[in-house]
Amino acid sequence: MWIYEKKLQYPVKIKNPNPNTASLIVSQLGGPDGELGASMRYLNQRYSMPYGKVVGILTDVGTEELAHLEMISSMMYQLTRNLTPEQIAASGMDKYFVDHTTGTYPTAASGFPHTCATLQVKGDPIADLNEDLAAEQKARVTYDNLLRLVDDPDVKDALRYLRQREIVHYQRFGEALRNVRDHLDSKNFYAYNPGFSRDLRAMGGKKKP
Amino acid sequence: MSKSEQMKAMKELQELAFALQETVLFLDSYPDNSAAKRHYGEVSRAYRQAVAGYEKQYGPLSVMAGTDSNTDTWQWVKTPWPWELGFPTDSDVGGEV
Repeated sequence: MWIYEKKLQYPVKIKNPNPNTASLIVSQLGGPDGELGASMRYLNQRYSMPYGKVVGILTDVGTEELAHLEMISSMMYQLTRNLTPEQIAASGMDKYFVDHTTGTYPTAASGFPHTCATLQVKGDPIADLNEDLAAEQKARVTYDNLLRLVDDPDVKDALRYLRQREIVHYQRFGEALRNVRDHLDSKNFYAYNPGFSRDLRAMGGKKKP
Repeated sequence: MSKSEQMKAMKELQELAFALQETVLFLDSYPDNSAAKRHYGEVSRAYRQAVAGYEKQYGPLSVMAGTDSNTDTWQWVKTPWPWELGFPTDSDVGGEV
């Protein structure tokens, strides 16, 4: 289960409200490569992983992604305080404001609501870990793009921290994939799914009658 | 117990928690690394002490540990939430800097 700690993983203190920035960073909350998707991907993949080390890394990184989405939501909260309707109308946030006011709603910057259609749990350790490597790179690129568009140093500081975490997670998933490969039979590299095929292996590869 | 002192104490807590998280992720892949395990013991001890110190001054950081030292009221809903800490807010618990 999950325990909640009343603290952010990294401090967020934004001095200047900016609804346009909020309408962009929301993609790391509910967008295709955002933190909510990442946490759901990892926390759901862990059940079909046959090795404790891999379940461990997916559990702990998945939990950390929840801490990251909290940071994004906190940034959105601070960026949207004390706005006038004129400021909202002039920003890119007016359409979001119509449906969500200054609440934090998981959507992409495009307005497309969060969906699990952009993530997969294939139930195969090799497929899932390769997906996770790609996911971390996609998240890193999203942070690169946000850093290109945002000027405020308070916002950039938090974004840089989150970007660095994606790079670290990429390394960890690379290690997890290597761990899985070490367990594989050299003759049956892809045909054998260690999360599913244990009985088949024990029976010398023959199907059950 | 000013807000800026609280922000400083929170930052130290966040730094220790971060060191702990990094050690945990390493140990997940290398559970038999005894140096890392020793490091984990040191960092987690330091973190628990820092949490206890912070909670004594500024209220509970979690609900299950029973560390709300105020015997009369439930401090959990009376202290600033993470996005409000040191930030002027509209809610009734947020703290002005």
